[in-house]
Amino acid sequence: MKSVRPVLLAAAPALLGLVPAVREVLLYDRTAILQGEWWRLWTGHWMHFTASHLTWNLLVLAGAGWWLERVQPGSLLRYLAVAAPMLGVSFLAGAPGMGTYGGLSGLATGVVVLLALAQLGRDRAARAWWLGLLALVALKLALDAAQPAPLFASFGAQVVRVSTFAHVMGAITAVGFFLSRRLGWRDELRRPAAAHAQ
Amino acid sequence: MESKTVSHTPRFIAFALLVLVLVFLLTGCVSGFDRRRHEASSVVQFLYPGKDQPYIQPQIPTLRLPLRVGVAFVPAGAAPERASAAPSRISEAQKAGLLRGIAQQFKELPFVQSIEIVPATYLRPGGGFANLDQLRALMGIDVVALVAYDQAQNTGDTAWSLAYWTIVGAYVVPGQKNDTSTLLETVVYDLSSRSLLFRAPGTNTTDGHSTPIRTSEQLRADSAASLAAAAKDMTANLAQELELFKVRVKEEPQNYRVEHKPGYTGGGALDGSFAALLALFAAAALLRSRR
Repeated sequence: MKSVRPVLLAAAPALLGLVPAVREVLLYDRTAILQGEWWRLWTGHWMHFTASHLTWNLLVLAGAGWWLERVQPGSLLRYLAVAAPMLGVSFLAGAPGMGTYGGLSGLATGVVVLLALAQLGRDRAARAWWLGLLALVALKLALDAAQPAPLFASFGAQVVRVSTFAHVMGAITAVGFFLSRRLGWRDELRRPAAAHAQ
Repeated sequence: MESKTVSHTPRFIAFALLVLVLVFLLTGCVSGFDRRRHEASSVVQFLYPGKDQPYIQPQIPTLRLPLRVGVAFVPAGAAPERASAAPSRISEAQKAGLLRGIAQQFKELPFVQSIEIVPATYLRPGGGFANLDQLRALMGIDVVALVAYDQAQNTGDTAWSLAYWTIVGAYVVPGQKNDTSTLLETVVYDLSSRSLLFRAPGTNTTDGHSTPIRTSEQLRADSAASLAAAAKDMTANLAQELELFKVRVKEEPQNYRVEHKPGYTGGGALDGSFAALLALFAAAALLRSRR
């Protein structure tokens, strides 16, 4: 049950995003963010354009998030809280043409990568499996990036370009989060050892 | 008794004259409508009206998504010809209905931002690309779907037309055979590169019979019915061509460049196949760990 609660906390706000009035206020909107509506850097990821758009993102996030919580309790919400604005800032800097954005896939990709990295360090016997998962994600990102023409996505009446950039940034933030935590643990391990030595 | 001999000659002549007049009148009735009618508008005539027109080299189209699309009926013929032509059997209401149907199909495409139905008065006969450039500036469209039509109607006598000699037969015997052939075509051009993106035709042939008295009325009805059937055929072909076009844009980057206009909406979306692959992976990993 402990691993379910953070997943519910992470996933439930996405349902609000289907309400157009809510989406209007919380969607990543480049102009509005530059005018001071900075909360959109966080909230934009939870906004979706159609139910099917939401479903796949939510399935991946909830599945990988539940597993991650079992392996590293507390990691899911921490990662989401840090990575969401980082992704938003990366959109501002790296995708200036993108006026608006919605979707959890960037963060969901990050959670999958984070899960694989966490398992790599924990379960040495199953290393090949988790390396395989990382390779699968890398292959998907490479294929999406190599796609010469942008994907045409049917998101209801909305004309939407599927953002590969968000997926790549999600994976990068996950690697960054994982490395920062490992370094942090090492520091924590060193500190008591050093104190004991003194 | 003196027997009177009455000459029947004047009566006979009068009767013969009467029959002759009736025959002429009847023949006049029968042949008093068009036996052949042809009405057409041509994309080629509209885009390349003069023989001395320089050939326009199309470039590789750059589709700047989302697209704004205009839908228009190609005006029929060049101006002087049209003035002397018979009034069109295809009404403006029919044309408007057809354009609305085509616009609806384009609206369903995810990469189309807006559809504008171009008013008939905005296109000149033989206006060419110069006219389309004006539309582009006026309405801000990137792509135009030009709709052209060609309809021919023929009517001829069948063996049953002998019954017309009885006069009553002209009212009750459907001795006229009417054929109506319609070709509709939607041609989609990218305005900036002046290149043809795709085309979708629709055809129909309608046969029928009518009495000579009702032939004109029947031909008008056949014209409308044939146009509607050709439009239905074209709509199906257009849907197919649009699907093929989407595939071509993805698979032939050497033939189509795609850009996104600034301010587009991005979507973070994972597809079902990737989610399914992850689910399979997770299931396999769980099974392995339980062993």
